[in-house]
Amino acid sequence: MTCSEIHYAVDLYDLLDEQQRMQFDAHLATCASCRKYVAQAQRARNLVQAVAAARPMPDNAARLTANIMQNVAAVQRRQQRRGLVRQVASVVQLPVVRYAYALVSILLVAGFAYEATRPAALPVATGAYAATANSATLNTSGFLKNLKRDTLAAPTLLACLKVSQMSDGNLACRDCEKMYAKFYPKP
Amino acid sequence: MQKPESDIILLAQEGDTRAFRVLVERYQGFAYALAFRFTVETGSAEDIVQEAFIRVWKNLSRYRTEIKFSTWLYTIVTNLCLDYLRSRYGRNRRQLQDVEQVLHARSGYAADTDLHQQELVNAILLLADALSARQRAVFILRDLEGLPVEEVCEILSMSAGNVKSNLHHARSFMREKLTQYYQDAVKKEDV
Repeated sequence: MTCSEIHYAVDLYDLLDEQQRMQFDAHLATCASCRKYVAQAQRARNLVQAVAAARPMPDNAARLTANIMQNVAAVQRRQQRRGLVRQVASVVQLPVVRYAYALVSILLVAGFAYEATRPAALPVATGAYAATANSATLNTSGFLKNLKRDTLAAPTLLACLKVSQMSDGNLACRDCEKMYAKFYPKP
Repeated sequence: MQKPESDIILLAQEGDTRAFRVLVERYQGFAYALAFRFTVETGSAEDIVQEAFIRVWKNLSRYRTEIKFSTWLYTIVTNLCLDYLRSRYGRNRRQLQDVEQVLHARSGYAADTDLHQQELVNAILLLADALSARQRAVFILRDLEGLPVEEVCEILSMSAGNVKSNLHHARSFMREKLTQYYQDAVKKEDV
């Protein structure tokens, strides 16, 4: 080993293999300047080793442990909550449950589609006239009486005509026929 | 009779907090020493130790018994310390500490054995502050914690050659600064 190699190797002496150490020691035995250099380096190493021996310790180890365990307990509670959510999620994700979801969805869509396409029911007049009009003048007293009693049951002119036309093709209602003739005279 | 460590770890992995407490009590001193040597601050070191053990708890299920528990813990603590040094707070703190100032401030003490142990510890840790993060990590793990090179390689995910190179730079820097420090102290004593 040369002097420059010694200067380099002095900082890695503990990592040298057996042969390198023998070469290192052999050089030191013959070189006074390297011995001085190594002695200086050894002093610095001693200071570092003294620091290594003085292990820093926490001011209050028990308090530090308590803080750590408190934090760990909080983490554990969070983990347990997440575990519960995961369990529920795993049930929800079962194939059987998924197929059930799909079936319910299909049924709902079919139901909505049927409702949308079904023909709307025509309004049906219920109840009877309390009194028929004797002239073209509308018997409002009877009409209003019916209207007051049940507004839904009150017949309208349009409904009356419709019902008559639907039954035999002619206007069957006398009052309506008269009224119809008055408003739409035959040419 | 004390339970073997593997049994304690197994219990902790199953969620036993009492077993985990045993691990905390056993290793918090080592974790704290390592964190303090990186941060040179009691508060930051304690914060890092707490965070490290929380990470250990969270990832305990992933722990493989092929590696030593202490190595795994050291890896977590070292990574947290390196993150701390890279953080804005860590960088600002470093800028405030001038190595030369530290040396002159300490040169009032006699060298070597006459030095107050605490002052020497602070001086060396603050000198290490001037090293790069990797050099500092290698120096602390190998020279102050006394870990074997293989373990240092594992903790820092570095090759043996890389560790040796960083260790050489760190040691030569420390040697130069401490030699200068030692000589200054001797001269003052002579005067």
